[in-house]
Order: sequence, then C-alpha cells, then structure tokens
Amino acid sequence: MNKLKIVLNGLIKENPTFVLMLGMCPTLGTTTSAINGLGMGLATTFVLICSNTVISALKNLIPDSVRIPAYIVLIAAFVTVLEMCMKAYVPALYESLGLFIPLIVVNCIVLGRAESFAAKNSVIDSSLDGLGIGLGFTMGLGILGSIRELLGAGTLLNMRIFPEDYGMLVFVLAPGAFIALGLIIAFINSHKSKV
Amino acid sequence: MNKWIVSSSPHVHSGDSIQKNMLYVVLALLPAYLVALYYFGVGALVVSVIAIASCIGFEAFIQRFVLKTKVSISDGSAALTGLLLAMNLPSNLPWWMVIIGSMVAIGLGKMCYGGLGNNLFNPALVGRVFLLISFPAAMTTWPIPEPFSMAYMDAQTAATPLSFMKFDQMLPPILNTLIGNEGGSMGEVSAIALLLGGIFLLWKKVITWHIPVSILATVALFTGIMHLVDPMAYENPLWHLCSGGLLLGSIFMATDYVTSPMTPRGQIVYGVGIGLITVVIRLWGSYPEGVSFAILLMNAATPLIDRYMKPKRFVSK
Amino acid sequence: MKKIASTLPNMLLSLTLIALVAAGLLAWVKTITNEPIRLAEEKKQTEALQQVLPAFDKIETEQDDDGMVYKAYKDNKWVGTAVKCTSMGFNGDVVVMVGFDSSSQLIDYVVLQQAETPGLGTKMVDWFKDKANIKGKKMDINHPLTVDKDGGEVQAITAATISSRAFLEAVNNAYRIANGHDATTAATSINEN
Repeated sequence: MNKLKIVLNGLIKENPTFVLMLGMCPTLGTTTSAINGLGMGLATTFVLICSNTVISALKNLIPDSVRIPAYIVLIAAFVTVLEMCMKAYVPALYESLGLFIPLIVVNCIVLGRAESFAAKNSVIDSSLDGLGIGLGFTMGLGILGSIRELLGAGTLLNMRIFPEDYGMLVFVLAPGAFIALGLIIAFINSHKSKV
Repeated sequence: MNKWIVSSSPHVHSGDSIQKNMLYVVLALLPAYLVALYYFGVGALVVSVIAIASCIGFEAFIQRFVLKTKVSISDGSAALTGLLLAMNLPSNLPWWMVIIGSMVAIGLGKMCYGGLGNNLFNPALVGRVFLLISFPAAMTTWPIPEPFSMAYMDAQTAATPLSFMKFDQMLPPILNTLIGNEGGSMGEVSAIALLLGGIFLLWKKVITWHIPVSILATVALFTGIMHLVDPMAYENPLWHLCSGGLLLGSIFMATDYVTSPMTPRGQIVYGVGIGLITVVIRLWGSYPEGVSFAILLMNAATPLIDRYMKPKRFVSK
Repeated sequence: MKKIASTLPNMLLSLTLIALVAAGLLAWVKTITNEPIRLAEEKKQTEALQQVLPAFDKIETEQDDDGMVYKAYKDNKWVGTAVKCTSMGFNGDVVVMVGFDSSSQLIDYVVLQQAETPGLGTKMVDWFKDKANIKGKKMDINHPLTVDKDGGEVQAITAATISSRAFLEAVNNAYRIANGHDATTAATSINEN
C-alpha cells in the first residue's frame, strides 16, 4: 500500500472523529478550547504511534488468546509514560486535560487500530497508520475546540476575537460540545451526499 | 385485515386545525401578554416583536435556502414559537440575545428535526434554555415592574420571588404574584392572567386537564410535604404554584401536542414527571427555576411513555 | 516468522515478558521525571504564594484547624501571611489562598478550587480583582467584609450573591486565622527581643 495513502486514510477518509466516530468521550470532554483539543489530540497521537509500532513488531510473539491483555499492558505503559512526562514538562496542559490523559488507555481508537491494523500490517505501515489516525483525531479535536472556544469565550488560541460578554457560555459546557459536534457532522454529511 | 394503528407523536394535523389551534393559543396568551405590556412597557413590546419577527424570518430562511422546501410560515406556528419564547424571557434582554434565542429555537429546536410536527422538544423552551445556559446573568436579572415603563435595556432590575426564596428567605406579598406586580420573565408574572388563558384553552378543548393538573398537583403535594417537614427551609406550596414559570409552563408549554404523550394515562405520567423534576431543581438545584428543564427532560421521555401507555386494544388476536 | 501458538507456556511467557518490559520502561521514565514533577508541583505552590505575598525569602508553614498558614519572612523579618482556607459555596467547597501584609492589608488572592455555576459564581476568580476590587483593603477583625446586599461595601457578582458571600466568608476566615497566628508571632518576637 502507498505510504502516503495510509497517512491520508486516517486523516480524511477514516477520520476518527467525524467519520468513524470513535473516541467520543475525550472528544466531547476536552475540547473546551483549541489548545486543549490539540493537546489531547497530540497526546493520543503519541500513544497511537508507539502502540501501533510496538504491537506490529511483536505481533508474532503474542499468542492470539492473550492478545487483548498484552495490547492493554503495552498501551497502558505508553500512556503512563506520557502522563509522567506531561506532568513534568507541561504541567498546565496536564492539569486542564486532567482525567482524560489516563483515560487514553481505554480510548477505542488506540485499541481499535491495534486490532484492525497493527496486528496485520508491517511495522512501518503500522506506525504511519498511527500517525495518520492520530493527526486525524488531532484535527477533529482542534476544529471542535476552536469552534467551541470562539463561540463560547470569544477567543481563538487565547487571542481575543470579540468581547467575552458576547460569548455563548453553553459552548464551553458539555451540551455545547454535543451541539457543535452534531452541527459539524451534519455539515460534513450534507456535503458528502452532494458529491 | 383491520388494525388499529397506534402511532406515537408527532402527528401532522390538517392545515386548517393547526391555524385554528394556534389562534386559540394566542388568544389565551393575550391576558398574560397584556399584563406584561402593562408592567414592563416598551421592553416587553420590543422583546416580543423581535422574537416573533426573527422566528418567522429564520423559519422562512431555513425552509427556503437550507431545506429548499415550501415556506410554511403562514401556519402561524413560527409566530407562536416566537411569542412563547418572548414570554419566557426577561423584558430587558438585549435584542441580539433574543435573535440568537429565536435562531436556536427554530433552527435547533424545530428545523433540525424536519419542521412542524417532527420536533422532539418544545422549540421555544430549547431557545430559552440555550439562552439561560449561555447568558446566565442576563437571563436571571429581571426588570422591576413599573406601569407603562419606557425603559428597555436600561430598566432597573430585581430578583424574582424564586430567587428570594432560594437566596434571601424573604418574600413579597402573594397578591403581587397573583396580579403580576413582580420581577420575572415577561409572561410568567401574573398567575391570574395565565389561569384565565388556561380556562379558555380548556373550554375550547385545545388542551385537556390531564397535563396541567397533574403537574400542579405534583408540585403542590411535593412542596407541601417538604414544607411540613421543615417550614423554615421550604416555602409553602402556594408560593411554588404562583411563582416562576410553573403556570406558564404547565398550561402553555407542556401541553404542546407534538411533544407530549397522546393518551390521558401517558399525559398524567408525563405531568407527574415534570412536577417532580421541577421541585427537585427548585429546591436543590443550582438554578433557581427548573420548569423549562423539567419539560424538556420529559419531552425526551415522551416516545417512551407513549410506548408503554398504549391504549388497550379492543380486539386482540 | 510464524505466529506462535496459544499454548499455556507460550501465553505465560509472552505476557510475563511484555509486563516486565513495560515495568522496566515505566521505572526508567519515573526516575527521569521524578525531579521535574516535584519541581513543577512546588513551583505551582510558590507561584500562588508569590502572587499573594510581598517579596519574601523564607516561608514557614503552620497547620491551623481551619486552613494552612504560610508566614513569609524577608531578612528574618515577618512581612506577611498567606492563608489557604475553605468555605461552602453554592455548589461544593470554595478553596482560596489569601495574602495579607504586616499592616493587615489584603494583597491578593488566588481561587484554588471551586465548582460554582458557570458564568455566574465562577467569575469570582477575577471579579474581586477588577469589578469589585478588594486588593489593598485594610482588614479589620471586627468589621468583616460583606457584600452590598448585606449592607457591606463589596459589590457582589451579578446574579451570584451566594457565591460572593462564600468567597468573602473564606477571605474573612483567612484573615481571622492569619490574625490569630500573627498575634502569637508578635508575642514571641517581643520575648526574643
């Protein structure tokens, strides 16, 4: 398979947020601002690349009956590494993402890619798939985070676009996440059906 | 084979009956609207005109340019949504918030589901709750009633009896809440005017007694028990019945055909649910008023209620 | 290479090896990040203290029944006290750190934890610094700060009187605690002289 195609597949054709609709919990929970969305996306990308690469490399050494526990142990190890590094070097981002970092362990995108891609493909293809899916997730979270931050607080990447008094607070809160995500997906689907 | 088909709401009515029912509801709202005009003056007029005009405008725009279907604003349902939304807003709410509320009510509350008859939630309440969560400060500071007031956004503000109840344990005389001389959303202040409207709707058979009565009885019973348990902490039931949006909600919003159950038994379950949720939010929630949240939550439960409260079959196989 | 079969020894061996490698990796990362994590946590605390206290070079921490007391010294002279304390807000605890200088002036505050109604009570984080500035207020133990609704001088957050009261209660408590600890300090310092 074409290497570029693998990356683009995750970014657009099988975009985890807008097409596969996987990992909805962190998608709705962390996108209160563009920075939080991008931070969460990149954190997940890191775990995806590591887990895809290692699982693909070890796929013949892991017996089928115990593959799920083996994958989970590996994924959990990478998430814990990530958690400790974020705590040490980007404490502010770590604090705002909070519980959602350890929850990457059970993110269905990570285990899903391990099962459906890394367990069947070569190491290089698997790491590229991790990169593509990770960037697709980052893009989805970034777009959702930007929209929510702009409408809810009147800022974009912490730059003020319009006065805070005009921000619609609902978009920063949980219901706004559902409304914004629903509208984005409706928009994408209406364009897809036209093409 | 002859079968009774029990369909759950929403039902599409013939055009004639929609318009007639809409007219009756507007007539029933008239006393409360006149009270609002008297006590809140120009502000009430401005807010209601903006809400009605922008609801009609958004409905026409979405039907014409987004859905590309026939524009059906002449059935009056968009105008009624606008009027009901305005009745649920403070009369000093900035004009652009009223427009956002109308856009959400029509766009998210109604058109997203496919227009009149298909919406799951009461559109006016979707607009109100969106505004309440988005702009909590503006939505919970109400103007002080002043006959024929000329003020709009610069009106003097005061808290409602419910906020008094929750925050200051201090109440204005109950007569004021009966005639409407109190702070509040423009349509909810006068208990007498709302009851007049309710009686008119019952007389014209636009609504049945099941929903309003079960809501009010549940609220009275629940707050009555709480009041007996601890009179200091919980106000007496009469207060809860007359204040806030309870009467407006139970007579005009909860009875919306499209979003309420169809069988009398289902309607009573629905009404009791609204009553319970309202009281729980009022007494222990972080917002002073819970009627609109309660109605929306029970709207969501309506298909389920309809499923379990089917009328008995006359002929069984 | 062929995939190994799912026999019991194979499964045990494979899982054990993976778990061992994972544990080794974690142990290694832990030794690297241990120090930066401790520093980052310390920095957060110090930053809060620096914001609410005058310049200091030494902090003495004392545990009070109602909160933590941080006494700041510069050149061995007491310059101010910060107190971390808690009050009941509209929805759960409100935890604030408030600093006072040696002449009982309120220097600044930091809201460390709160879960008030979004858009209303949550405004306390900045409200009492710009809209109703209490920085620089001279505290008096007999005249606690109160909101305007209760006849006080501090403007309450629009539509969030309860949260405003809770916040001021925490500030007043902080001052009471700080005052109590200052008194003993003053007494001991006299004895020392």
